[in-house]
Amino acid sequence: MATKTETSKFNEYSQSVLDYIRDRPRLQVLLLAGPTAGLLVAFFIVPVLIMVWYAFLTGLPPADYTMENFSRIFDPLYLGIIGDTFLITVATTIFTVTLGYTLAYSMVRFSRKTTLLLLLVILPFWTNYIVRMYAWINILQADGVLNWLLNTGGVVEGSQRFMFSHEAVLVGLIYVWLPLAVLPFYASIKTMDEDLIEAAKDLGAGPLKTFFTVTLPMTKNGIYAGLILVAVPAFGAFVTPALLGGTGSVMIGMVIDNQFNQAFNWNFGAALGVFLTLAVVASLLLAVLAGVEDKILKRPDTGGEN
Amino acid sequence: MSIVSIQDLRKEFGNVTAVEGANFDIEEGEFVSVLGPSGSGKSTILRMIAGFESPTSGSIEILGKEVVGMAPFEREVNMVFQDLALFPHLTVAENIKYGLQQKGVSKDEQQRRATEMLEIVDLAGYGNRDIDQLSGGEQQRVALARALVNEPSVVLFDEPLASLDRKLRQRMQFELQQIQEETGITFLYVTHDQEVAMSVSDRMVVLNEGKIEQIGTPEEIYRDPESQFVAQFIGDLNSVYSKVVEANDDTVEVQTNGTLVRVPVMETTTPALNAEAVDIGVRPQNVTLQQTSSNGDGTAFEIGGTVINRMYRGDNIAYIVDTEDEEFLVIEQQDTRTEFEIGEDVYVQWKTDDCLVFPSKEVA
Repeated sequence: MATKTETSKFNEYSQSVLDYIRDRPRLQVLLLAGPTAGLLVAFFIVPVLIMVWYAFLTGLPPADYTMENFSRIFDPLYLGIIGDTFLITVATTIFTVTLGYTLAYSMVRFSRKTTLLLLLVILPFWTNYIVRMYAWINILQADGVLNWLLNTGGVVEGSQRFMFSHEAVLVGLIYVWLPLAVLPFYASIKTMDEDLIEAAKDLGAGPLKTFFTVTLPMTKNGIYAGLILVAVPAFGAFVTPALLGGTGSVMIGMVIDNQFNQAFNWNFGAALGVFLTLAVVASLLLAVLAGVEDKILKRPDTGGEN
Repeated sequence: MSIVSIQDLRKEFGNVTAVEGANFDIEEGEFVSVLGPSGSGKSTILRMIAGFESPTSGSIEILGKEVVGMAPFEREVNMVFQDLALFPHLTVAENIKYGLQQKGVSKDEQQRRATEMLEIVDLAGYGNRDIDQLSGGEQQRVALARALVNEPSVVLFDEPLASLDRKLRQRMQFELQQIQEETGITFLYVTHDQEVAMSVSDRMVVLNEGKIEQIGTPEEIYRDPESQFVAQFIGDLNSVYSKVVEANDDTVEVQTNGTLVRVPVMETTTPALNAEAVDIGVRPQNVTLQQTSSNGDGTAFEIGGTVINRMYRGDNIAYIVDTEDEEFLVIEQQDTRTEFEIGEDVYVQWKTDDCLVFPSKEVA
């Protein structure tokens, strides 16, 4: 048990430590950012470097260096899968961004129960990803809910094949990533000054003109955030295509998973991983350099000089 | 023909009546203020003219054409918003050209008019700047330019100067007036600041609780307020409750401190002639303080009291005098010979000619 003097000694000691830190801003930064930075270096940077290293080896170390793993990527089989993956990602992103933005916009502008709606949007996150995918299997499979509904409704006769297709994967991916896109959209639409919309209308812009010249450019940061949040994980998806697409819709994430877990070709898996990472980073950089911002969200064309 | 003509305009929000039967016209080239305390319905009127609210009943005509039911972007009016609502993602010039673009004006013409407008608001050469690079006053001018460049039939102002400090506000008021004269465009200015309204407008519409209390030039409204509310809202007013002893054609006789005083009643406030009791108002500038009582000849009021506060205000001194009935605000010019101390017993005096007489609000 601490006596009074011990307590005061301890206080004195901690006070002197605090005094020491107070005058040293660099130490403060180190103490605050250090633990997280350390974790990231140990469990992210180092593993990535190991992966890059493996990508250039012929087998598990010790092994020779080779470019073989990378040249194998350019096999038509893998290029085809990468192409499919790219298309599915683009489609997922377009659908998710459009649906998510419309949803977020309606929630902010037309509803009074915004918080409740937002909660409902996030709710699926509380259920396990795999469970949600199995739910989709139940809906899409041959004797699933969708077929039952269509047959009962008399829309089609006989069981339709929905599973193991690009479309099934697309639906699954949109479903999984939609909530993630809604959040940044919601935040950016919510914080936008509504007077700007009135100002545009006051200056003669109709509803569509107002949306494209004011609302969309004003919420573009949220749109970019949502876009990246969806596109990047969709590109690397492997659980959804594995469960809903199977061999009918192979995405590159499945191939990588395969190389590590079934084919035990870690080197080729690592090379694919490096290649995909570079592709994602490069396309993001290209988008910034090409000024996608100004081209997609065009400023009103007013010439310029004044 | 009036530029704007408002008839029996009424707006209810649920069971709250924001505007209760407003009628007024605005003539071409006029600078009209709508003045009232917060919640008086002044912004609602403005927003109905702009098209952001639709009236419960009544009509709004702009240039003789009924606009109720028309969308904001179909109306030939432009608004300067309270928080300006400049587009932060556009440059100064792009902001100004926005309205012209919607109208399909050619690019050369857009450019020419934007440049011209920037000169008028004294921002020549600012076209390529971003909005957040500008000071508050400069932003005000861009907002004004963005509205004026469309040459609307009327520009609506929703208290845009409220956020500026006093000095800048006064300068912007002055500039606003100049620009209005220069362009000849009709201005409708909504504010709760009577000082702004008085100094810039040709005519003022004074609103209280959704009803128009008075319409007139600033001078008419200050000199001949039609209601006690107007008198109190436009400038300060001291007020004394008195029972009416006798009412004549244009005077009421009241008893004060045992003396009968005959007070002339303004044409605009004739209801006071039929009232049982009146509130006699007087502006602080028209009241003087005396150290000794001077027995009246029936042309002046005099009430004894004690100075309870004294505020030095540079060119004048304001005293608060506690009398039997009311606390009095008295403003004495600095050059008056005598100054009074807190705690000093004084006599508050004012002439019957300076009185504003209203039917009493208090129950007799």
